[in-house]
Amino acid sequence: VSEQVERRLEYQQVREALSVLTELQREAVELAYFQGYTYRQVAELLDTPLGTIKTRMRDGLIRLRDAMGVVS
Amino acid sequence: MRPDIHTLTGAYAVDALPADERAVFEEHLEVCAACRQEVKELQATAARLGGSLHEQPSPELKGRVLAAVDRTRQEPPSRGDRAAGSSGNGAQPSDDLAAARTRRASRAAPRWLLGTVSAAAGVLAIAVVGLGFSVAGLHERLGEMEAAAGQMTQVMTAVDAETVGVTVDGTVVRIVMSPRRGEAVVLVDGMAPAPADHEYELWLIHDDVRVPAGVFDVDQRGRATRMVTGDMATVTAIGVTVEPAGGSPQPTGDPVMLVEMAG
Repeated sequence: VSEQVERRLEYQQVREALSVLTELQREAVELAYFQGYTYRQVAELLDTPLGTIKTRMRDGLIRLRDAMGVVS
Repeated sequence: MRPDIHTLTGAYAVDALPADERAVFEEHLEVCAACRQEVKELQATAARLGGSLHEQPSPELKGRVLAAVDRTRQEPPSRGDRAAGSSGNGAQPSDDLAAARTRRASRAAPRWLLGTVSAAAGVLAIAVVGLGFSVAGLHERLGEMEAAAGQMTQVMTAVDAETVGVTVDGTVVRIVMSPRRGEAVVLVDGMAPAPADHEYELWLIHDDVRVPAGVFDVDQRGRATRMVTGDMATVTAIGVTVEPAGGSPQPTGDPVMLVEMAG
């Protein structure tokens, strides 16, 4: 658990990290990750095609991964 | 298998797939190394966001979400279903996912709660609006009363003020008028409430001409106070009739009270 906590970013850092996303990507990621919606619900909420939402989530996370320098 | 299944890595990494699609995608993960790698990285990325519970969506986005939640009446989330979808699968991504899911369960507002909160916020907003309305109404009413009291005081203390009155069967009508101001204050006491769907109407009577001067009803103590404006110099009497609610342009019956001017 402590390792997990250490790995987590501080609030400010997360804000900075999320700022690399486009507004649309951030919206999709936030709704799914922070609000707990499925991507289908996100698509419905934003009145956007499913494929577009899937892409926004993936592209957004990829961008975050690269910005954070996450290496698995 | 759908051709675009690879693009589900992002949604899977943030646990945003419905149970059925998650099961299908996990089957795909078994056979697709590229997706497995990507999922691993994206899950690690998402995990680093884990400390950002405080991150709030923009008010504008929140507003849209709450509005949509209100519109769509979400079902309560079925945690059992979602958990069942990943049980019996010992793959590493699923373990990470289960952990992520547990973490998130402890911090993300479930959809049904979001709905409840939103409904409560709606009720609160209505209550606040209602309260604001009544407070504003009260201020307005007090202002009106003060203004009316000031006006009445001015009439009653006018140098040319005269008082006339009449008492019939315990009902008292007193009138203080100032011809110079062209105003009169009508004070009613001990009067029975007007019949259902009816109101009392005041008339300024100039010989044969009856000029409507406003409707009123009495309070629980049988009292009423009304300001009347008009030509008080030539008025010969002030009458009260019972009229259908809203009043009539001409009296429809005989006056129940009639105050004749002296001289």
